[in-house]
Amino acid sequence: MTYAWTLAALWLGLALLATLFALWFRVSTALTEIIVGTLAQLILGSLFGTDVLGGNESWIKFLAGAGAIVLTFWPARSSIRWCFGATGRKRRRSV
Amino acid sequence: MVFRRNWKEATALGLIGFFAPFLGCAAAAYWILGWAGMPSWLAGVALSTTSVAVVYAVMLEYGFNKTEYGKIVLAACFINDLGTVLALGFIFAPFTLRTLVFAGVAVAVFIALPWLTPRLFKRYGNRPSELEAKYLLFLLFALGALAGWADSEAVLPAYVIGMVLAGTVGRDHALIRRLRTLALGLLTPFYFIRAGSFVSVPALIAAPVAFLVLLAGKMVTKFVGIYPITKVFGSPQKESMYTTLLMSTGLTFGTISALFGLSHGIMDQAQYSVVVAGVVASAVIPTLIANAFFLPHHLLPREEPEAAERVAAPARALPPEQAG
Repeated sequence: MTYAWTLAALWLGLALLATLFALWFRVSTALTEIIVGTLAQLILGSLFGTDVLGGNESWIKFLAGAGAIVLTFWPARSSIRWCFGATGRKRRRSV
Repeated sequence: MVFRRNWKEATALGLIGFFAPFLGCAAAAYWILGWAGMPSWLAGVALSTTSVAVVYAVMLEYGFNKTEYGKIVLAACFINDLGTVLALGFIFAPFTLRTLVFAGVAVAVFIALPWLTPRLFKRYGNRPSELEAKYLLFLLFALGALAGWADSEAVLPAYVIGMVLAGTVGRDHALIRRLRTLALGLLTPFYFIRAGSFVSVPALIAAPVAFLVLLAGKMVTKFVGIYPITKVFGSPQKESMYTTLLMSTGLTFGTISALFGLSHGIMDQAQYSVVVAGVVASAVIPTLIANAFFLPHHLLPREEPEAAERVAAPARALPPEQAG
């Protein structure tokens, strides 16, 4: 499991770095995460080999896929809710 | 209730906002860049999106979210992205018996969810066992698995589940906050960093023209499609340009589409790199131009957007900078 913990620490470290960049430069976290991913692969890949990030490890593919699913679920929920409003016709009891 | 009053404008904007870049960018990839048919269609899908999140963020920042204008634009973005998700879910999937089974089960689930979910949450929810989160993740994964079994894409049912549960899940602010921690604290960084890690900088440097063609293709086709529609509905100049530029943004669905292409062997890494670069640039450049030159001041609410709104907004939704 050492390898998996190391990779997890590396990815969450990159995510932390991307979040700090987003706060410092006042841009979106999604953008900085994409750019950090690209630069990390370029720099770390050239230093330690192309598989250094382990992007094709099955558990990383799963977490990333789950992220894509959640990202798709959310905008639909948000935009529908906004368009039809909190007092829209679906005035169901709050849960 | 924007759809009752202005559904024609929102629908027209959303449909043209999808079809113009979808067809235009696919044509540009095919005829200008000389790509094969399938990667060209995928480039069209990836660049057809409008970023609900970017638009939502801008609307919140300037207080347009309280205006009819803001609601029309966001409704148009929703229809635009629905086109993208449907295109991604069906164009690249073979139509087989499995597709029919998937569609049948999905429709039945989508009809049942708005009835079942509030009752289940009312009876068993709001406890430390976090039934709500498990229920939502179960639905998303189960229908995602069914979509994968039918050779479609897992994001298609996720989008529709988001639609049908908007009235239920969207009301529970505490639940949204808890889910946000899971999504933003763990899942989405893996998605975006992984999407970025597959971008080849050397391939991008070797083909800057391809990047520019796709970015320009998206912006020009959005302009050619959306601007005249806004004029047909009588929008003033600044408002028309602002709507057009905001609807030229894209981020999440663009990268989801491109990653789908890369992982299914529809695109190679060089094509993936230029498409993602085009998508990322489209998240930034149109927004900067829109806010610098075309901000429709006459539509801004008289009072300043309340600070409470800004603070409360992320509690209601995934922070816009992360989604869409």
